[in-house]
Amino acid sequence: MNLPATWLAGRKVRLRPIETDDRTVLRRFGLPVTTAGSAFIIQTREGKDVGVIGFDMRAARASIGLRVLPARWRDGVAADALRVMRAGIFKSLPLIRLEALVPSNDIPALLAFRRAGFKREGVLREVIRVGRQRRDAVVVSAVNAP
Amino acid sequence: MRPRVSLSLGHSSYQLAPATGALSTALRDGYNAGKAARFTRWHLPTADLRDPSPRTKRSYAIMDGLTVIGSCGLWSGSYGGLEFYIAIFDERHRGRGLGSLAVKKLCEVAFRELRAQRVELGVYPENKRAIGVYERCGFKREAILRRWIYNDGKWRDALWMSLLRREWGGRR
Repeated sequence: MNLPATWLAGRKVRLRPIETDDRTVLRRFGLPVTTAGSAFIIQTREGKDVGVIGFDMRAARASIGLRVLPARWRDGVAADALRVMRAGIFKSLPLIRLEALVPSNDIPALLAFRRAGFKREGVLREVIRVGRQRRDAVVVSAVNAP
Repeated sequence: MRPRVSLSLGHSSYQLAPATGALSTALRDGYNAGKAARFTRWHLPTADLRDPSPRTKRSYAIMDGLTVIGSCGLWSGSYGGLEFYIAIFDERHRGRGLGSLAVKKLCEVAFRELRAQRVELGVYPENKRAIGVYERCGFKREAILRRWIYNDGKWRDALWMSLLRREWGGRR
């Protein structure tokens, strides 16, 4: 199937740029999207929306985040979306470093980032807020070679 | 918000003066001076561009009498809390405890006045002397961030360190 030029295709998923109508989808997944970056809807190859993925740029760095339906955790959807997004970003944007802070206890997310080739760099202490609590986060990154 | 008063550093002759417009030329020349630039160019592009007027920003010139010999301050953290930075331009003032005094003073500002929960900083992994200063002040090593900063013609790693409010409390 031929996809529009702005879509990105992976082995398990394809990423479709968000449109105005997607506000409800974004709200459903609860991924904050700012104007300093871009966001995509994660679809299965059959065209079913299963998540969202987005990134924010700050100079030559970007932070990346995603949300996937719990039913599709651990089946490679998230890892494939990250892999495709990372390749697309490094191919078309002048970025050197792509990073994410992952809550230390979010094992499915940590596995997804690892499967997508992100390296674990360390643990930042009490760096993210979940409600009133402060939690540790693993910082993972992919860098643009060489 | 700019700090309005100068802070004295212990019993030394050094002072932290609010980095006002009158000092900006001296600060710029300090950052660009050859010896210091290897480490301090880190701060130059972002120090004043990053957040123009946040509630939490503090920038100081480190003074020895009437001479600007360095710069330090706090701004909103890259990851969480507040981020500390320092540069000592004049080599003759290095290795004399000035860094420790400035770190301790600004941690006081961050935790007491600005009610920060976390102070973080990035340092070149090969800058052993600075890392030693931060560790003696209670900072813990957290991560090596790859290709974090562009300096001297290449992308370099940063060692990321932090001090939490509850840890600092135990050190008073």
